Amino acid sequence: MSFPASPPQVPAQGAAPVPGRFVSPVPVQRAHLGHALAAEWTKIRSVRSTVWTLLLMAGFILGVGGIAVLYSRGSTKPGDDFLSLGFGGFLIGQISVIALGVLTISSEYGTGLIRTTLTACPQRLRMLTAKALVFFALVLTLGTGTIALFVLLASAVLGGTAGAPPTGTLVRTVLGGGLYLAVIGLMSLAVGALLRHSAGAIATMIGFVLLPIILGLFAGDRIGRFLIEYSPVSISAAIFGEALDPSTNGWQLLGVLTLITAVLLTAAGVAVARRDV
Amino acid sequence: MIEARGLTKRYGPHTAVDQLTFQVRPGVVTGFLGPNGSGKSTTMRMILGLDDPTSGTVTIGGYPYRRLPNAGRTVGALLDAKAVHGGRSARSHLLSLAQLAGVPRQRVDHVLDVVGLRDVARRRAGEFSLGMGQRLGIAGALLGDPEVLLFDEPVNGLDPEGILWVRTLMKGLAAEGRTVFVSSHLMSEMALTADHLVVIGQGRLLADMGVREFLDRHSTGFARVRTPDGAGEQRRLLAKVLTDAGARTEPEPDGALKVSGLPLPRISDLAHQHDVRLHELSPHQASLEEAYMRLTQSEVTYRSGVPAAGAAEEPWGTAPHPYGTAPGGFGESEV
Repeated sequence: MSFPASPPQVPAQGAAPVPGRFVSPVPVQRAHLGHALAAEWTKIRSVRSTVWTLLLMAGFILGVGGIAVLYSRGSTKPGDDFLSLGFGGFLIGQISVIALGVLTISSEYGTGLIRTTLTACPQRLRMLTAKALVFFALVLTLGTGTIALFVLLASAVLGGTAGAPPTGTLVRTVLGGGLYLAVIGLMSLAVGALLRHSAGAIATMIGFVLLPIILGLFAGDRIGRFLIEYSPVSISAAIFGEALDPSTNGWQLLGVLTLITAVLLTAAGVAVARRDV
Repeated sequence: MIEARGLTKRYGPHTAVDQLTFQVRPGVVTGFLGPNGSGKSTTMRMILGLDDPTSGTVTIGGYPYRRLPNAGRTVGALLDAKAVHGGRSARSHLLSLAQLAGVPRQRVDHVLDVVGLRDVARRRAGEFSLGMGQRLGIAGALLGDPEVLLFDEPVNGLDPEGILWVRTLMKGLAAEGRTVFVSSHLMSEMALTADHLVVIGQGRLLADMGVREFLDRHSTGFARVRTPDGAGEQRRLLAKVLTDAGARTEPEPDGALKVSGLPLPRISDLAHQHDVRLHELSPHQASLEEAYMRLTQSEVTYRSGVPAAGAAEEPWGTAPHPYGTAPGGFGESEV
């Protein structure tokens, strides 16, 4: 392979040499959020880590959930909430979403690509917003779809004995589960933007998911109960109908998680806008 | 047009860029020269709005970078050839940049052709050699067909063919009326590529002038004088005579004498008057590289306060400059 013959033709074809100030013959259009969304979509679909992490997520939810469903064929009674069988796979599957959320932004910092990105688009909040929206939409779609697929499989196997779950439960598990994955992923993206370091941010997020429930066991009565109830593990359980406190439901807990995510995203926005890159 | 005014960047007690004031004009290639660690990349990042200056300003076409109406179409930059996601193909990398800046997607194939990466456009950038990475970075800079171009060490990792290509490219871009700002730590490269030089050392401006002017000002001409072999007595006599006449002499390892400060005919006359036979009397001009080394080394010496060995006989306070170059070209007067 070699360089093309010189002299290189840089301007678009047909450009006449202009004396004085250079004016590009390529039509100029003012860039906006739509452009940034298209760019982020190109980025996220053009790396293998996206495909791998999302396949892993689907594999855990369908695989672990599927095994649980098959094992409970004999013991299911009419009226049983068999959707809770999906909890285990969902709990593990969210780790892949966390990794993808972090990598979506930390890989740009890790390689230095963020400088190229912010040179092409110095509106840093636009870049962050586009990343967050594209990632959120992707995980929400695939997360909801995967859980829906799990529910279909579980219903096919156990629905005959247990009967169809009520609509409210279905919506909570399918849409709530998809939203939970998208929100925890978005939180990971915010942490990735704040820490700018892949391994550190992934470890922080896994700590955030697991630590409250472990600390809760050792903390005092009130704090311990609070930590356990609002831990991501408990929220996941509530989405699958296994709430610790029957007076709270999955949606309320999801609201708390969303609130924390909103705070972290705002912090990430401030940090990204202000910091040197 | 890039314009820096009093541009300063401090990291704690360390000053990376110190009160830089310069202009980069369209239509010529401006070389941004300085040793490694002299603040070139920090300056480039401030121009591109990536780092905020501690004080001072830098604008492109009158705007601070982050307020440019259409930055991606106005300015193109190559900062680091390795700054790509290794898992993404060259084409996807460029496509995402084009989309981000609102550049028509046909430009992607066009710039891939320009840099000669069309055939490998679908390969993952992580498999690229450093030279191919540089070309991908250059392609990214050209994507928006921008009016202002910045290249940080663009010839790193390129083979001679590639270096020649980059040189032709830069000159071509400038000839179209664009502003081209190219950093390098290699004077020899800049001498061949740039028309204008901005030289910094330890974050401070050392020179801002045309290449020709830089050479005239910072490289002293000298004569090489050779007396017959084995005639050490003659050489010592000649050295004394020339020094008395106001020249600076310096013996060279091969027995010749390096003389500066006297025109050639005068050296010949003095030798003749004192009956010294000459086997060589030739004019020489220090290369741009030597001039640059002298300039930046002197800056280092200034800072550390330890005189270089060759300048030890002249106390710092008495000479306008320890290396006898013309005063006023750099140093305190212009900082």
